[in-house]
Amino acid sequence: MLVKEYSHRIYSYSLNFSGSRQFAEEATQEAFFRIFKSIDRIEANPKIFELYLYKTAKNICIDNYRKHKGEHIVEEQDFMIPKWDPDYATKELVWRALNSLPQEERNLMIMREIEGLSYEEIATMENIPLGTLKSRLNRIKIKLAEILQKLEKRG
Amino acid sequence: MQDIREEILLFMEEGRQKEAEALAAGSREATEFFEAQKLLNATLTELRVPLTPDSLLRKIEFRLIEETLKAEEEPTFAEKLRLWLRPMASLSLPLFLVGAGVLLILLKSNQSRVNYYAYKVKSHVVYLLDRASSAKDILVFFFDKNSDKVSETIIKKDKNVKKEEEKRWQVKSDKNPRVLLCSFPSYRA
Repeated sequence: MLVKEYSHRIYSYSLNFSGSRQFAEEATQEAFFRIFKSIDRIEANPKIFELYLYKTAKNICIDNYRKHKGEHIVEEQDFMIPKWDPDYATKELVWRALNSLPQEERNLMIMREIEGLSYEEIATMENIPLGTLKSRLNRIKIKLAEILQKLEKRG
Repeated sequence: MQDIREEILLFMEEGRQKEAEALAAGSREATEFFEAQKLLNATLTELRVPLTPDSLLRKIEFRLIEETLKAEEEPTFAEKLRLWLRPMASLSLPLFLVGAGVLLILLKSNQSRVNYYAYKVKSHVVYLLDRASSAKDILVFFFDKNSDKVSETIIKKDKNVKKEEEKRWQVKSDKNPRVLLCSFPSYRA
């Protein structure tokens, strides 16, 4: 039940974070496995459960990122955005821009802009003040737009 | 320029599109930024993956079932020891040593009750769920990766599965637990 309810969000998050379908599957499995092991300690509140799940998935993704010595794995772009998608070119461009952000900035953008978490939720998860998060996200958005503009010009 | 961008962002965030557009019209750079931001807002949400692959759901399900079964196993070694040592505390030393010896033999003969074996046969993955080391029957799952079909059957352990083969499966799954976790069918314990 919980797996069906939340797995796609964790899978989507891990996939966008890592760019690897294989890794995203492993991270999603591992996140649920860890949650299962500590289920007694988690508050029975869907929102808290979801945040805990995201946090666990994030830790797994970061561990993997470190294991690969900071090298970002992007191996299955075609899976992320299928070629038959009418907006393939635009999505691919945006995805490339997103993937050229440093890991921490990419993580914040994925949580806010792709997964649609609220500022409050992200601030709780990342343990940073709300104001700091908002200004940080604004800077990242400006940076991302700049990257996108450059990529567009480059064609 | 930085201030204008932040203002544009703020307007866009608040859904005040026209004000953002008016502000962006001030310069070419601001216009380009506004357009890029508009594209990002429209496209980023589209990058969300709508569905989890069924195979992944099955893998998670299997892993959780496996964990549940493990949790339902007998008490851990330490728990058993504590349980057995409690009445033995009042015994004299020779009797205590004899009791401890018997206890060790009992514990050794009563190892983990749930064993899993997995074996790949061409496109099939075969799973054996051996519920108890003393059980005569083994539940076997055949999972056809190509057709996504699952079939299960019960075989007699002593007739159809040779001991050596069992060992080989065990070694294989120990060495590569991913084999064990892949594509497990929906099975409720």
